[in-house]
Amino acid sequence: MIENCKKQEKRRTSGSRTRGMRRAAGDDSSIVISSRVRLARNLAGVAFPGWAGEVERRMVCRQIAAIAARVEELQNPRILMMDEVSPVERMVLQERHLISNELAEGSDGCALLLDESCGIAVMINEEDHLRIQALGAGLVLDDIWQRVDALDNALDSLLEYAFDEQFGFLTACPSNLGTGMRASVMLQLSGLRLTGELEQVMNALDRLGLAVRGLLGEGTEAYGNIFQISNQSSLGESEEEIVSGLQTLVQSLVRQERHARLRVLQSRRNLLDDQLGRALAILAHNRLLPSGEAIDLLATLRLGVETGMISGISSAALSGLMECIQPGHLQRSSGRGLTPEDRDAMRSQMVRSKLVDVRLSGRKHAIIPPEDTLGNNGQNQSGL
Amino acid sequence: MNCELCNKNEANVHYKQVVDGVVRELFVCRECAERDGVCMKTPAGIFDMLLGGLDDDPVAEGVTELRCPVCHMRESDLKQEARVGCANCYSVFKDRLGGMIASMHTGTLHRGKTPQSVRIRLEVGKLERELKEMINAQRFEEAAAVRDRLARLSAHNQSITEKQ
Ligand SMILES: [Zn+2]
Ligand SMILES: [Zn+2]
Repeated sequence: MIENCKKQEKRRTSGSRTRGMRRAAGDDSSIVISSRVRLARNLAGVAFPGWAGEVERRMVCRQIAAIAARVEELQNPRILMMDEVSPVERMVLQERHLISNELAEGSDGCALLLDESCGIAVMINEEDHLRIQALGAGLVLDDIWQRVDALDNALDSLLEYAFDEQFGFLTACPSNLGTGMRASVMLQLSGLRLTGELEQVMNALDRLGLAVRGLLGEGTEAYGNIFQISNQSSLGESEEEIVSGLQTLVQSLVRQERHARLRVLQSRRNLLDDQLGRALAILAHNRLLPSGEAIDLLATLRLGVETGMISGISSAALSGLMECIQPGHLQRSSGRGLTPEDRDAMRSQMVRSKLVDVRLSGRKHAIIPPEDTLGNNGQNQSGL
Repeated sequence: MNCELCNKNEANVHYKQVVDGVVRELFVCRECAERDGVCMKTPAGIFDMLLGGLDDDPVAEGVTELRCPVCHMRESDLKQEARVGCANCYSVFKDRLGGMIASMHTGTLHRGKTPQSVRIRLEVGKLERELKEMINAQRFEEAAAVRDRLARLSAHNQSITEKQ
């Protein structure tokens, strides 16, 4: 699993195309964690998955499996039938945002077409027959839209989509009609939280017709002040308009967030020092770390890295760590079922082991003790 | 309490919103909230719109219920499922869904991608009309060119249909 984490970090930081775009966009990656685009598609003449029977759903899976090898846009396509995937693996896929809760339940006749080398995942028989999606680190909406668009075109030439000239691509829920597109961006708005402007910004986003959802948490009390912002309307605008609309909005949000961080850094430095100090103290000395709290603490560290107060770890590494400490990932790496307390202990140890190089900027000594100074006899499970 | 949508999971998300001057409260589970895009900052969640839009006119007893001939979804199923059953349902329930669709989206007309087969069909229709006009106007040279294009398009369409 550590290997997997490293791979993810690598993926987050490498990829010249992605990096080039991110730089061009003015290093939004310090605030934007990831981007995602999905298209909802259905096959003509087949009832939508929620209303169809299992036989029909399995037929759709077989049809997709049969054509997957012929799609040039895919390099190493794999079809995972959800009822054959173990519960832990399903959890891992869900934590990687590759499948939804609905698919993670593993109902009959649901599948995932996954191509890791292309960064593409197609959910089969979720709410719609196909949910074509791609994810990328940073603000890379254009890049992933092009990937999704290309695969969609390829599938279009091999399948017959349900389509209507007025309503566009026909979907099980009317909220996805038209382009069937949902573009979303995950970003950390800690600066706006500290300046007390978050609520106001949320209301503005709402008025602009965008959906805002917290990561893991509910309401505005999102863990780590990490939010997902996405378009709500999919009918009446072209795909490019939706993508560029969201892109523009996120860029302005990034400017506001950056400005807020700067103001806090200049005039309320104590507040930032305090938050960082508390986070580091807990990270150094906790022995049981629930995942929500872990996200909060790591997000605070991320803010520390971005404001130049902390060195010894990258933002990308922290984002990668946030993914690896989720329950499914932990259970997979331990190779057995874990009680919540086991998980919290394992998470605590893993996080500390990953943060041994973290330093306050300009100082030499490490903050997180490298070894288990409380004399706990647990071996270093994280393997570092 | 249980989720008001799936009636299965514990309700841990609470929505309160004003729809047509009436305060609606909705207790749902996180899964349903996520699945249905009932977002924390959405003034009118999809479900409220869907249910609100269909609620006001209950099917009178003895009256034959509207039903999709393709997937057999009835209007009452639509209410229950909050999803349509198949592509054809959009024609069957158009009157019932139209207002809701308009309120959910920025526009009412699709302006995005069009599947290849539909593009070809539209193009063929256009060329056939042009061809007719040209023949009527005795512009035979141009008509021949259009006929060639039509032949190429239908050959292309044929190959797509075969692939599918
Ligand atoms: Zn529910
Ligand atoms: Zn139907």
